[in-house]
Amino acid sequence: MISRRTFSAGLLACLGGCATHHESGPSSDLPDIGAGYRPDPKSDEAGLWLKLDKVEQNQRRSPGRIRDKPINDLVQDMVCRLAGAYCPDLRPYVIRVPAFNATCAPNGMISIWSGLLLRCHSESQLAAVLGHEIGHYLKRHSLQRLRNSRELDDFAAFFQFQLQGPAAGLIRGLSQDITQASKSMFSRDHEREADALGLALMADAGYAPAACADIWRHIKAEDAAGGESERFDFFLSTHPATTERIDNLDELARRRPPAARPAPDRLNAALGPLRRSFMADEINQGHFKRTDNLLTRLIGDGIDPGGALFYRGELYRRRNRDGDEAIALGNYHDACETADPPAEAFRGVGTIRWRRGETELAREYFRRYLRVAPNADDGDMIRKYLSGA
Amino acid sequence: MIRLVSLLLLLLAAGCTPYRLIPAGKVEFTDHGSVETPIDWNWRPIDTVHTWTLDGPNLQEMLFHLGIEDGKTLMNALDVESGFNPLLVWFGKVPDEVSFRFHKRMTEHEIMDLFTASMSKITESPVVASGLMPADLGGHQGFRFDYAFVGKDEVRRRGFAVGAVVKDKLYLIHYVGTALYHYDRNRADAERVAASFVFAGKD
Repeated sequence: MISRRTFSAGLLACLGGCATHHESGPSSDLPDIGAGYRPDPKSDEAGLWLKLDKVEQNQRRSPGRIRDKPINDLVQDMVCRLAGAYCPDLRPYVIRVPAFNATCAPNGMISIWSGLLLRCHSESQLAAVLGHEIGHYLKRHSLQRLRNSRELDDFAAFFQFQLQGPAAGLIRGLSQDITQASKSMFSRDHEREADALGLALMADAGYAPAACADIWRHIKAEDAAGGESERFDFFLSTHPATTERIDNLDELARRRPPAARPAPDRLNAALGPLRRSFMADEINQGHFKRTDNLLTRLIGDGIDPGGALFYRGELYRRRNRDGDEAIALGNYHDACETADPPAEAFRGVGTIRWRRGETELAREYFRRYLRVAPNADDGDMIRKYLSGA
Repeated sequence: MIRLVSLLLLLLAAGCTPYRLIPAGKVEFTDHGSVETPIDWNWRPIDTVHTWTLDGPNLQEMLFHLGIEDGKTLMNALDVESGFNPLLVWFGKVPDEVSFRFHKRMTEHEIMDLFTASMSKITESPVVASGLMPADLGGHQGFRFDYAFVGKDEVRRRGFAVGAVVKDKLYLIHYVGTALYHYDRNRADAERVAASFVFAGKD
């Protein structure tokens, strides 16, 4: 199946690869990163950092970066609470992307997406995600994955190029499957480690550890609402199944004693009006069921109910199936009755009443809209409705 | 031989370029209407939309959505439901995707919202509209508004749109360009084109 000469060449290639790896370092059992750490300029780690420094330069200047001071001050303070001595090494950026995600690069750049902030009901829930990401940083998971991936690719390359004969194709396919499964398992182990470390960091900082599982429960509920059952693929899944994560995090949280000095909950004050712009981005996704689940949960938990009711109304009005107009109108009316109604909720009632031909009722709400937002930039259009045109 | 291959490659590249020159003057849109343009443009149809540009679509573009019918999306490509697998739909496994559609009873605010939602899908970036006000399009009462977004390429862009609903169909003309330079450079030309729109049968 394989000639002696070919085998020797392959073995040499493998040994050559191993020699390179010894120079760059091992893929596992790396020591934790130290405070103020900078990699050796000759190392593969320095190359990784250099690439990410360039990414960070772009992120710093990006128009998609949210520069709102209160939320940036909050996440910076949270990172310092969670990371302690590592605080100067970590740089958080809030990015306007309507999806649930955060990342921490090995050079200390943390990206927090707006879709994550929208889904956090409390500072503890945000701390759960930040703690997890800081966990990846402390354990140098990106570097480990880079090296592991390179080792496995060498392994696969040996079978790819050196094997001959009738069974070679089968063995090549198997080697690729084994490589992929190994990479995924390695990644899942890192996620489990980051989950545990993140929970420890946030609980030590006084945050409620139960929040770690709570946020995953929200995501699981959204997935289920959107018709996405939990899909776990042994070969491809880079993260453990959500149910496993929830169970593990619940168990870890139960083992933690109550915090001696509970951390404050400043998230809602810091997010302020930003949350409504995130809701607007969310409904633009066109994922009706997921977004309905999210907004209904925010309303139920009293997280900016005025904004959530208005955008739930927008969600139904846009879909415009039988009965949706009435649901939209109901949500607009409910939003108008909250303590902090968005001005647009009054306009929403006026809009639906207007197209139903309920002109006087529509005008009443248009007038209320202008009272709440006297400088509205669509004032001319509203005044056209009021003037009877 | 090398020259011949180079020429063939050039001809092939030219053949692939979908743009055609629109000379200054009157431009007819079959069944919908016409405009007068003071300058030359490059024309390319995308889906159901006529698109014009001077320096390239990423720098500035004028778009004509003409005669959008009740229940239709601004572009066919935005109709996600039409791409659903019929078997999955039959078994009730409909993907969680909803298209943003024009409806003939929509108010001006709703049309502006339809536009921003559709553009957000196209650009994969949040599109924000402002300054909705009454305006005429081709002698019909309509509306206009401004919009802005930062695209995936991180370039800030600005635009304006003018539209009207006539005989239950939406007619919408908009112009967009880089906020730094191209939007301002040809905005007046675009305004003149939009202002010159005449509905078919009104000549």
